[in-house]
Amino acid sequence: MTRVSVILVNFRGADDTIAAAAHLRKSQWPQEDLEIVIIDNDSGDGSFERLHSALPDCVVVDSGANLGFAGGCNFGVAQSTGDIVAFLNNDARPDPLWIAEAVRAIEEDERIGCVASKVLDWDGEKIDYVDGSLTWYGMGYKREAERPDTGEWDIAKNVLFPTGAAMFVPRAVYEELGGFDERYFMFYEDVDFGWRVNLAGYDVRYVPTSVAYHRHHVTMKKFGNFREAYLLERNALACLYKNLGPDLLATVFAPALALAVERSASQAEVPAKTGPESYSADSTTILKSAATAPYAVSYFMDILPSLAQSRSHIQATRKKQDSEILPLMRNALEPAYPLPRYLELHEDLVRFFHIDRAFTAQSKILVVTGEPISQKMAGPAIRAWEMSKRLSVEHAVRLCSTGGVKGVQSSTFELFSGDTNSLRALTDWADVIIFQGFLLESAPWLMQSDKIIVADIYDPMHLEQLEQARDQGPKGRKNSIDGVTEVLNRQLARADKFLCASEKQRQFWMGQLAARGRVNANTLGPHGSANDLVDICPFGLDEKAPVQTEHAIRGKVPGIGPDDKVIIWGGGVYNWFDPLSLIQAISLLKEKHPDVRLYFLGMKHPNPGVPAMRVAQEALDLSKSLGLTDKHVFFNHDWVPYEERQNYLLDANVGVSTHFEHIETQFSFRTRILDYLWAKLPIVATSGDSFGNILDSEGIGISVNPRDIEGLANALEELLYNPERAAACSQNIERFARSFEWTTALEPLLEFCRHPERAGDIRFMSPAELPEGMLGFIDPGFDIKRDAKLVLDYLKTGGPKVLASKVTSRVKKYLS
Amino acid sequence: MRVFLVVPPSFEIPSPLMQTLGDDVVTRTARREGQKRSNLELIPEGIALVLAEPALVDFDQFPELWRTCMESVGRKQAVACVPGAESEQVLSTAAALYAFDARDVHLAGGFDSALPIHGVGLDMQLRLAGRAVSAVKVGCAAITAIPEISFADHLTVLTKNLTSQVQAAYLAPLFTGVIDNSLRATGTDTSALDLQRSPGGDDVPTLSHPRGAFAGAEAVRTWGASLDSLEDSKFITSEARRIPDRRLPYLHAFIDEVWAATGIPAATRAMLEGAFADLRRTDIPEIVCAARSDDAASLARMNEITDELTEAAFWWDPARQELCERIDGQWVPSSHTLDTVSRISCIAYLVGASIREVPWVATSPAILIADFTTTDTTKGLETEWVGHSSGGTFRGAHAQNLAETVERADHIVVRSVEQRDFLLGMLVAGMRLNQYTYDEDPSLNSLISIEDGTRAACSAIARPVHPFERVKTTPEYEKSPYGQLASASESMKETIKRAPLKVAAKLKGNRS
Repeated sequence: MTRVSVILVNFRGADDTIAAAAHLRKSQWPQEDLEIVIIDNDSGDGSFERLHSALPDCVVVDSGANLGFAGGCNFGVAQSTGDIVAFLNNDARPDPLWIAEAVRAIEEDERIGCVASKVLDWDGEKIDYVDGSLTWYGMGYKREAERPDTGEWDIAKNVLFPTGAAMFVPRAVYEELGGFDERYFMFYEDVDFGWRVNLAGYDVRYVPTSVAYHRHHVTMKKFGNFREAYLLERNALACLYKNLGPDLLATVFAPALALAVERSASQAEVPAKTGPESYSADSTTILKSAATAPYAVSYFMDILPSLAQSRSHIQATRKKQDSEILPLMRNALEPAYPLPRYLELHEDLVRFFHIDRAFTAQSKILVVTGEPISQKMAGPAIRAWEMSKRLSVEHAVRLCSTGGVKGVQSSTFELFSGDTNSLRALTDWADVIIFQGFLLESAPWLMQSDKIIVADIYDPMHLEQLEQARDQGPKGRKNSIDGVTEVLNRQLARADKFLCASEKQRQFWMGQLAARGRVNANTLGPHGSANDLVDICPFGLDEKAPVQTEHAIRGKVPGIGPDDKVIIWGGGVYNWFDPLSLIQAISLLKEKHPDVRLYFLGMKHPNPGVPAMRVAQEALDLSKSLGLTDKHVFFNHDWVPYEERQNYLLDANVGVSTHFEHIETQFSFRTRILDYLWAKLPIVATSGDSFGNILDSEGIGISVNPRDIEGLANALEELLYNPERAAACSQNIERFARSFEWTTALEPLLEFCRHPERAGDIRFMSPAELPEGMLGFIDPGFDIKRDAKLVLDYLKTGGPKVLASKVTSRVKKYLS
Repeated sequence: MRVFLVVPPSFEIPSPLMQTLGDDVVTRTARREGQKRSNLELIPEGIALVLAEPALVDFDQFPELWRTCMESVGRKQAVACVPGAESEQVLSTAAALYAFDARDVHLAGGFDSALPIHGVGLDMQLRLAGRAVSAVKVGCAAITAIPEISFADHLTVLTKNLTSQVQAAYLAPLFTGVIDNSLRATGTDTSALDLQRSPGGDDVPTLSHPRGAFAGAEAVRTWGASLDSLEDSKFITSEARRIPDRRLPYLHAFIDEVWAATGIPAATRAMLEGAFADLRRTDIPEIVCAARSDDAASLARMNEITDELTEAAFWWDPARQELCERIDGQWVPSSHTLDTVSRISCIAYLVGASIREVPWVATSPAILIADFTTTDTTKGLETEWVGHSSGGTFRGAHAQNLAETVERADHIVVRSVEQRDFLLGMLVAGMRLNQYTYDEDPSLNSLISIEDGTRAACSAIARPVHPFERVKTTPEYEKSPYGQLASASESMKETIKRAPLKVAAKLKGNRS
């Protein structure tokens, strides 16, 4: 069994330390393999004697001097014998599984050089630590601190540093790195240590199941704020100096000094309401807070020769480049202190020294969708939502919908409605922009920006238009098809990375990219293949299995009983789908099986911009004419909220998707099929699209030929009334579905965002030289009835701001 | 001769000076303390003098001093007058009197009217050196001493003249030293806030310190506050530059002067510079040669040239898309990335390679030398077809590549007179042979030279300069009298396009 030594450093806090040791003894870890080492940092208040008598089962040692947190920890490790050393603040309370979960992670993955525990406040309600962020000027911070713990930070990830309040290190790694840097005394020794663990080639892994609860800052509250500020300033400089590579250190060190000086001066002057005179030549007294940075620099000078040796060693032996470290800093451009002169200087320094460019590997990610984000979301909005959710595990993420945001929120990423003004601010903020649809038309400045842009072209919308625009008359149809094709051509000319949904789509997009000159030596490099331009990120499904909280169809929809056989049509009804053959198949099937029921999940698309389609009306008419409506065929004339869809899916026996033989079909990726897989529903679908072609070979359903009514009826009968076949399909789905779980499906995107970069052929190009052309505009013509409905719908989904933005955008396009 | 004379505020011009300079003198006063800018608008003709420290000039000997200035400026030099009799090349140096060619000053963007008098001279000499004007300090008997220019003035000049990337590497040790030095020099107890070294006294919010203890912090703070206002002038400077920062002549001597102005002891400076030495990236070659590994002649030529160099170089192989460094006489794959090379390299030397094959060069400020000695320039042209598609490219791929390379090249090395003539034709088609190039060097040898062994190649590498016509601001300043520069009648688009000119006008103190 692995022996664990937990080190606690005590400085005049014997009560806390005794309590912490008692909690540790409640750990679900063999007591004989748990060594508790307590270092009394020369408290001088009788602490040592109290600890010694109260904790006979612990190793209690008097350090003989106040060694600070760093020195105390190192001294503790020297007294310990464990294979893994752990550090716990003496004002913290470990969860019973705190040790077991951390050790399990370390033993499962040899890349781990340090485990960062999840730390909550004492009551377990608010976040203390779930990630470590670092600014370009060396200040570590916790972005998520004080937020309620809603369970959204429960995904393990690599971080830059742990919190010294609760962390684990294999002894060998600790010794290899020489432990904490005692020159820090206290504060940022954990930042520095985690950074060095990373540079040495290990991972610092946040393990959310290893939890501790912390009463923050008991120690430092005993001293003045200037004491802490001084330590933070000097240790931030040391962190930067030791650990940054030469290019980044050159970029940030002088600006960091200037910023530190302004920060201390402003911190003194703002509360005192004085002018910028802290360092006046005539003065002989100074507020201590104003002296923190100059004194910190002086200390830095004192120890610079020894720091230079450390730097030399760290840089010579580092195994990770700064480009790998930058994403772990999260948001390095955070100014952090709300002081006017300081903020102004921060902005000036960032601009003057191009610090924002140096930190482009930072991942401030903006995800943009044109679909409304609300409880009722269609495929693109769901995809954008799930991307944001997964990306926010490692990055600062903002999700923006130009169609409006209403009635939803997330704790891990921010949500925005995108009118033109907010779009500008959002795109300025972001390092990486991932978008679907028409962003380059709403934000034309992006064409000439140096932002890293990812075009999510999983929906070949120009192919959709071939069918969808059929209802718009010859002129409207031409405008729509040409307009969307141009929009996509511009995306292909500008974006740095492309996402599609399948291999077949990739080949198609490669052709269109080649026509735009984007398949070239610059992009592909010596060892690349044309495929590297376009990553396959299919639509995904949630890793957590669906749980039905109530019936939504059976016994709920009049005419559908608890034991009926339910077929679900799990999405909208668009012109390229064939609900008509399906309804006719139901008409055949009902003769033999009167309990068959077909349920259309959503007849009204949540995006007001998506027009009502001809085939939807035809389906309603056909069902009515066959006398099936509300007896065997049921229509939901609205749309189902995203978070409630499992209640519908789990009420069904079979999922169905039928379509005509169109070019759109060949390249489409039916997101509704993913819902079926998620709910383990056997599937009946028309062959010809990416899923329809593999149903039989994967044993997850039955494919039928387009418009084959009898074949459709037979397939449905087989899966509805042959329980063995249905069970086999469900079993196969369980295996097959794993590759579509969101985190797996989005892995290429997640990896790209860890090291985002401009495409090779446009990275050195002057932005003004980028292909531009006319901005895309699909002229839908004027239609009073449709436009009035659009006004109402936009008001409903996005409010007056989004409506105003849409109107302005359309008028502008006409005027241009 | 027309003379433009800049003097300190409240300076009364002595009669010997006026007698020597003659009637055609325009006098302007440099910015006084508290003033944002002065008016230093000059007519680009004759000599511009900056009398930075009149007290250090013996005006009785001024006629001799004036003769020296005229001779030096006549030799196209930017002159700093110092005591003694020796002359020495500099980047920029403290002096009591500076003399410049007024047209050079104009084409560099004019005097910076936001600077105090010492800064005006120091700044202009550095800017002219950056435009390949020879900067010298000339010993003159009429000069009695070298003025002490403050650290703040040095810092301003450094900040506005060096790229952010290069200056940041110098500023890191400098700021550390400056903040610390005033504390150390005044004997301040800097352990007062340290919990470990000075416990207690936490209820007292202030501390006492010697006068001047925070002078360094104040200098850095003042510098930070000035950044925003320096951006425009930095832009003007960089737009008019012809020599990359890292190739500025005598940069180290200038940096020495900046350090000297701080008063930091030499040993401390040495420790600081040693601790931050790797930030200057002297380990990364500043020259990158491009030649295809499947082109034996070009490869041999590149090796011949790199053998002659006294510094390291990268080799970019477009055929294998590989970056190499030479270690122990062998080319081995480099650990550096193209991004690093594109940032650091000052000179790109292309042997038989086209600009497209060195993808960062087209938009980089590096000096591009195109070596055609191993290339049959017309061969590819004769066998390729042109495009006739509407809106398509007429030129064949080879012609396109060749034209792009020639249009971007700062210097061209050829193997024969015939090849020179051919490429001169290409240059003239691209509007590259114009009055700016011609006036600087009527032979055009500084633009296109015929190789003799490796002499032309090494000479071009040793003097990396963008030709005048490739510096965007040259024609703009040439054709635009100051009044027009600040014209308010331009359309918004024109205003944006002319932003550098407007900023220049502002800097020169011109009012519309």
